[in-house]
Amino acid sequence: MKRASLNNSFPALDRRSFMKLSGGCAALSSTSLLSTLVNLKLTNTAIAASDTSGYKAMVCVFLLGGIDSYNVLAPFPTQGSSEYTDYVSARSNLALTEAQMLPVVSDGRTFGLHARMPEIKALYDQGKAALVANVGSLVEPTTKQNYNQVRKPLGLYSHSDLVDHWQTSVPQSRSQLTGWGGRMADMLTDTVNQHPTISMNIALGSLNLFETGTNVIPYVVQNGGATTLSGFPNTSTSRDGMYTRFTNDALSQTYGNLLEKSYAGIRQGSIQAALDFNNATTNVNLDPVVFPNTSLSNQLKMVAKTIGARATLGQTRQIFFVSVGGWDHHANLLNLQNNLLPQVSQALKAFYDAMGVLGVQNDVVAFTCSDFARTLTSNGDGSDHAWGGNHIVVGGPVRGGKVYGSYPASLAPNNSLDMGRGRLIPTTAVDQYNGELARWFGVANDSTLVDILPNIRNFYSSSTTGGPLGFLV
Amino acid sequence: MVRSTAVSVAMGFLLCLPSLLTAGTFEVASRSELSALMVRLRATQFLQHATFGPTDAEITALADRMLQIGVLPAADEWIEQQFALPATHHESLAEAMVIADGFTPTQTDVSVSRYRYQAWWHNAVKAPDQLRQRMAWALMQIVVVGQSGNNFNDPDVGPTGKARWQGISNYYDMLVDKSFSDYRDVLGGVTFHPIMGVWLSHLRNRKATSTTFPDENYAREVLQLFSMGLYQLNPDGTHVLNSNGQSIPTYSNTQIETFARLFTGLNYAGSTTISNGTINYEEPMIMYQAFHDTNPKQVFGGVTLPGGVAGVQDIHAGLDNIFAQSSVGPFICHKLIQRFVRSNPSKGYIRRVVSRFNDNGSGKRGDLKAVIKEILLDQEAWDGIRMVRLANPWRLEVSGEGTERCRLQEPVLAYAHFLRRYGSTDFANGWFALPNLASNWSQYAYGSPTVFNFYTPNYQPSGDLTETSGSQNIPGGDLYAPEFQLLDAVYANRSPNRYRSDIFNGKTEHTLLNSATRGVIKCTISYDLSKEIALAPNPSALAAYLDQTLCCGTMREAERQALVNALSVAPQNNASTPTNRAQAALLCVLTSPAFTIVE
Repeated sequence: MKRASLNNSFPALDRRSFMKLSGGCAALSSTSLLSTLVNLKLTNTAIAASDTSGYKAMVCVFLLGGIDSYNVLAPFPTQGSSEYTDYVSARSNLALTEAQMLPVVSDGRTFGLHARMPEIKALYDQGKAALVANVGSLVEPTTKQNYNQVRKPLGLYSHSDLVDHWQTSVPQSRSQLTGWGGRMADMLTDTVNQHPTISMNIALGSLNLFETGTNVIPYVVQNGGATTLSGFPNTSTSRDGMYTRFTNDALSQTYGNLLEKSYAGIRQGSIQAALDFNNATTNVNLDPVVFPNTSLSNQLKMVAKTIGARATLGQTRQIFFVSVGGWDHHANLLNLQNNLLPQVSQALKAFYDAMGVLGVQNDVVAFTCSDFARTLTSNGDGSDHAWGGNHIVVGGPVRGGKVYGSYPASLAPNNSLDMGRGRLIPTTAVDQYNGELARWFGVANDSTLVDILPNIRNFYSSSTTGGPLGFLV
Repeated sequence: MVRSTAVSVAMGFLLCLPSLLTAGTFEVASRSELSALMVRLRATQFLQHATFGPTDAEITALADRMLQIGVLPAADEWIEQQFALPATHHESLAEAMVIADGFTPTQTDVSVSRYRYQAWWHNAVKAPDQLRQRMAWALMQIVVVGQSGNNFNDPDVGPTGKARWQGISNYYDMLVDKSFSDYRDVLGGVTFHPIMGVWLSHLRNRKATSTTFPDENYAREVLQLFSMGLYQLNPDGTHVLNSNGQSIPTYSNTQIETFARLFTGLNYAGSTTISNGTINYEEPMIMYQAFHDTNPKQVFGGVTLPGGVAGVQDIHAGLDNIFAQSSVGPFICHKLIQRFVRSNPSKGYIRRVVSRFNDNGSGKRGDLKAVIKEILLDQEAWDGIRMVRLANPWRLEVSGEGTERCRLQEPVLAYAHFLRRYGSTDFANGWFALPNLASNWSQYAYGSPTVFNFYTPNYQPSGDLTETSGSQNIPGGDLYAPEFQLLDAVYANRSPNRYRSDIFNGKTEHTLLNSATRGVIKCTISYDLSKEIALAPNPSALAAYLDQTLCCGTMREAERQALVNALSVAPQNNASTPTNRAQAALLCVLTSPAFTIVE
């Protein structure tokens, strides 16, 4: 454990919190964050209240562009119910037929999962996958009736804003510097990560806001692992020897120019981290699981290997971010989803199986996120940006075989959630979804949770013992 | 000639202000050499802003002219000469490259779309109209399109005889052609270009029916990213505030819906209905009046576009309305300053550039010639570097002026700089036929993954910059460094690895095609380090030379000393030492903070 270093890390954290305060981050209650830290420093109570035992990992699968998720989970044609015909009346030429769906049952109600996702259907039926209905960014509970009275997310229906809102969980602000996974890692890292340079937050491909905290920033690797600095280190008098000497000297100097300082710091950290990461992950064996050769699957394979290296890396909590774009289906929606959804379904299945190989099937959860769902109405060949949508959660800790949240009773035009064109007001907040994951990850339902999810009390009381939605054990 | 010695450092310590302690010092023989060096560094600094990285000859020519007529007049003259040069195009060059390799643009058994990258690199390195090419690259990062658009890489022939993959180069050439036009003209070209029509899906966008509504994609992005941004801006880049001290959004969702109605009725040139027609990425989209929303539209500033107007005219009136809004100048000028000079321009710098945007002096708005001239000649284009002349002995102290007066160099600009300065090619016609090189730094021409470009203008790397507020000169007070968004732990290693491989091998062999049926095509780029090798017996002289010519002399004394110390470990008498030192020194400098952060 790294408790001894806790004290050393706090002055920096305190200072940064102050800076953010002055930066106008009204949403994050900086005083409460600060007082939490002071408490931590003095008594360690907040961390003590949180559960950091055992091993746990969460994997955020971000579907960039805004997936049309009312064609991922649709009403299934059912005798005596108008749900399917309501759906068709809204979607017109975008509606799936019965043959294009697989029936999944939740509490006696039958839904249609997109037929190109049979692996998810199987996991659902085994109780290892759940669906969460009509989730979207909210500041507080929002309805048609109170729409003009409540605070709402900024920049509704805009990609860049809603991507950030999912990742920050502070949708009333556009100036958030940290994501909820980053803030969670800030709280936990000293207790759960013993590695000096490799973050407990690991991203495939590129940086992301979700995993960015004040102290913790994501460590980015590629599908093949970390890229090391060639020719380094070298102690001879060769070219690499000269390069090594200069690199070591120049990157460790003190720079008054903060851009130079940032550059030197990032370079220095990257050199050592890559060496350590590859040593730890190279020999992790996932046989006999076969990952399909798609972008998402290859990313999840590297995630699996990193989970396999958790002991070598000294990490007992890990947060991963993978992403796949191409979901902004303003046109050609039906064909493009037919091509993309199997990749998601197969990759998640392979990943689930790999967790079994590694013996951590009950310790790892993968969950989807996306900018927003799309308009139920058609623009002719596709759909436009909307709001609440449906999501998939996979893993051993999932209480699967159920649709959580509140799937709308009717998707007909002008239904009680319709803001126009079938833009549905979310009935489950991103905060509840994230809160469920954070609680499972070990965060106590006290001020710690509020520091991570500042709006959570608008949706989830501190006296509740279970999670906000109940889809995790 | 130029050298730095321990003595001059010590003298500097005795004679100068403590704040100059970290400055690099260059000792020279005479007062006239001192002036020549100063001017040479200013020429280097200017050309780093205005080109894809200056060659030695370009620096010498401009420095000579600066000595003759003065620094600013010579820079102004250089800009005017650039304005007068004919535009170098990308689409025709890529096509010529395809044909020279024995293929056709519609070839299906080789990847022809790669030729657009070869053409881009060649023009970055060799096009005489460097300033125009830099402006086009800057505009491409504002009115962003990317190669991932639907069918953008297909070899299928279109109605004009060009292949589809050429369309995005046609879009780029449109920006090249409008780089010295006005920004309203850019907006028009962008809006009607079929590549944008597909990328942001206003192609075949129709007025509302009883069951469908107009696509809002382009309407949103043209406002949020291509013209005015999210908040109303003052001419100095600060937010306009309401009586409660809050920022004011530039538009509402209702206005998005209104503009979505504006951008309706367009389809490919050559189509005969709104829904038919072959993919045509070469000619502006045409209007189908029956599918254009002809109702009146309440746009900005209390203006109502009248109903019943011809669609193309209606769209132009809507673009005029957008373009007239006062936030457009500060929004666009701030982005352009970030691309050319620095990440954190002061309010004064923004205001001066915006004033030229709003009126070029002849009553014209949005004139990009006037804008780029102000960006490059403004005092803040120069004050990132401080130079102090000192006597006994004659010497120049040079220092970067810190956090708010610099930017992280874009990876492709840094690499183009390296190629322009050191590279030569064995390829036919002297072409720099490079692949996109995306795996080295993730940024590449036509490679933006989304309309949001490779980085956001207000990105802050975690740590020092997020902890620190800017001075009162900076609008909003936050310090940004957009290009750091590309500097993740992968590319922080990969990018130096590219330079190491190139320099240590002395050449790079790019395999452009390796096909069992179509053969092998390679382009070899060689690097000429003869000047560095000649200086290598004296590590101090070599370090000083590279500092001046690549870093404008801004290496801190300790950083340059680190280089001298590292180079000195190679055995002095070994025959391979000069080459080894020259190669190591160049690699060290190209990966150093001083080179990577540009003043």
